[in-house]
Amino acid sequence: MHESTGAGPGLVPPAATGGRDGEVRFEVAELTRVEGEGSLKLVVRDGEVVEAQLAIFEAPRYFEQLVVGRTPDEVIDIVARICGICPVAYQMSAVHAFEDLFGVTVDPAVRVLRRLLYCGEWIESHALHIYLLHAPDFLGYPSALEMAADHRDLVAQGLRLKRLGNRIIEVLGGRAIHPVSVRVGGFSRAPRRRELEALLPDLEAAIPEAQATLDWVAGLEPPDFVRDPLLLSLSHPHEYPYNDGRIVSNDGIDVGPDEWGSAFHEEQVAWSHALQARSHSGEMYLLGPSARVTLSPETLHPLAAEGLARVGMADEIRRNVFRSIVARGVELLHAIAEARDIVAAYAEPDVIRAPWTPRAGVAAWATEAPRGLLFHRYELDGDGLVRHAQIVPPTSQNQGAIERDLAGFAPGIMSLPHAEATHRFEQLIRSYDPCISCATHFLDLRIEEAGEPAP
Amino acid sequence: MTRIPVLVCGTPLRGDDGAALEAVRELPAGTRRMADLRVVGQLEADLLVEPGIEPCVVVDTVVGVPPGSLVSLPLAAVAEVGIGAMPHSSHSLGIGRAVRLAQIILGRPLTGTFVGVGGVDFRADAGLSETVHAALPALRTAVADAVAGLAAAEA
Repeated sequence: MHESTGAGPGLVPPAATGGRDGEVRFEVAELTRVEGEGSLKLVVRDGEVVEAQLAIFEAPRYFEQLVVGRTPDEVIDIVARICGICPVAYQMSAVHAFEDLFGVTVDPAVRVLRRLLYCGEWIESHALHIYLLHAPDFLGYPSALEMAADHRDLVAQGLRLKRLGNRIIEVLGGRAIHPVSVRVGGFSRAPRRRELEALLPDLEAAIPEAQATLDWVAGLEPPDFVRDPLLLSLSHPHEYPYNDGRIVSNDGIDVGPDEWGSAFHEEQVAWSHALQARSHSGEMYLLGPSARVTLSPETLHPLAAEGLARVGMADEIRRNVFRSIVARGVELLHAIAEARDIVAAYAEPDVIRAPWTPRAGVAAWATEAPRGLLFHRYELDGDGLVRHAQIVPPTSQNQGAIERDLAGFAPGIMSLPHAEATHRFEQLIRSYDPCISCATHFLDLRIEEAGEPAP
Repeated sequence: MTRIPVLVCGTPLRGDDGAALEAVRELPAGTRRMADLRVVGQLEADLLVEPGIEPCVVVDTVVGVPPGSLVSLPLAAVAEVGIGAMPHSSHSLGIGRAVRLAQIILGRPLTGTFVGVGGVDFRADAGLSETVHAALPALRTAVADAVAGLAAAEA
């Protein structure tokens, strides 16, 4: 049973225009084709945007408190539950943080398997977003169901690619959703060579499908919306960023994967259960495929680099967020091609799980979830138990940039009919592939005694 | 002998939503021999279009029927049930839309049986309600009958 029984998203009509004289309101009570529960509110008064809010009202989920008192391996399984779409990302940021603190060096083959696991997640997530969540916006359909009626082969291709990603995660992680094999020091089990080889024919077949996907999304006409955002991602000199690299931006930020807090912080806003992240100088920034493709084009798989060059949209990807669907297409091709290469060359690790000894300290690391940089920070005691946790998901980091873009996008579409303009705002939000459920797991509980000033 | 995939939906973390998982734990031995049990959690269209998945039995908890009552439908009919409702998490389609999308992709109705039990309490960590717990034997029988029926048709 997974269906709500009340009027669901999409059944709530956009609010009518109106309000004070000279005021136009755009409201979507429940955003559809995004993960989790959020709404859009935009108020334009006398031609000026006075409110632009991506309100995230999904209830806080308290994961940062749930992991307190837990061991590192328990934390890895618990944080996977934050998201059904990107559980691997949560496991990867956590496990790398712990291994960095404990001084664990994993077997090189384990490191490769972790890249393969991430490939599976990117394939699943990007195929889902491209075909089922975002493409209907460009083609004028209310959902993938209606789109499938007219583009059956296209949607079937998307489902095949998504399934391929799920199967990679199943082989490595035991199950596609919330995998269970990642452990500090490696994995609980190494896949047999024959298990991975069984994926090879479908990976080979998926490469031309991913190339065709990229060409197709490059042909989708985006709304005209150009800006010059601050982009942020991991960057690594030799490999496209998944698990390793430094946190870099297009304006010169360059810190270690454990040093997110040295450059950024989180803030609470009144209309959101998700914290919003800013640089210490107050700047909002953008994460995700567009940022990675822009900041690390030289480490794309050769097939993906060739695809990006063929469609010729590197600059548009950087400047127009609606072209994020093209960036996802580039990364979908990258992930499939890299997965193919890893599987073809796979040799079982000599040491599937390196030994480790817990110690007190701060464990922190960032990896690249499909939607962007995911930072974890844990304070551990001498028994290796978590005493404090901070998890900064990509959607909460992107939230400020989304609101800024909503305000920037508004003037260009004010002349459209209200329903069409509202749809364009939704399309803009979906360009970021927000994962609202991920964003609402903070806990900042302050009990203020009467007569006692707040801390 | 072709084994009939049994796609077990739901989660034990959400009260009666764990009914299907609990029911298949104690299926009769004869049914287990005929069945290929797959715990899928959320039913997705990409699984339903996978070659070899049909005919299948889908087991889940449902709402809109009296708690503890059983529902057995041709799988294709599920496409017409629940249209108009959406899961809160819209990265997923919900079971009705997943079946409908799979049928659009395949260009034909899916072959199989849907077996459901009416749930009443879906609170986190609530466990199965007494009503649904009492219905588990009947749910097991319905799953066994569905598997046997499809296996016989395949023979």
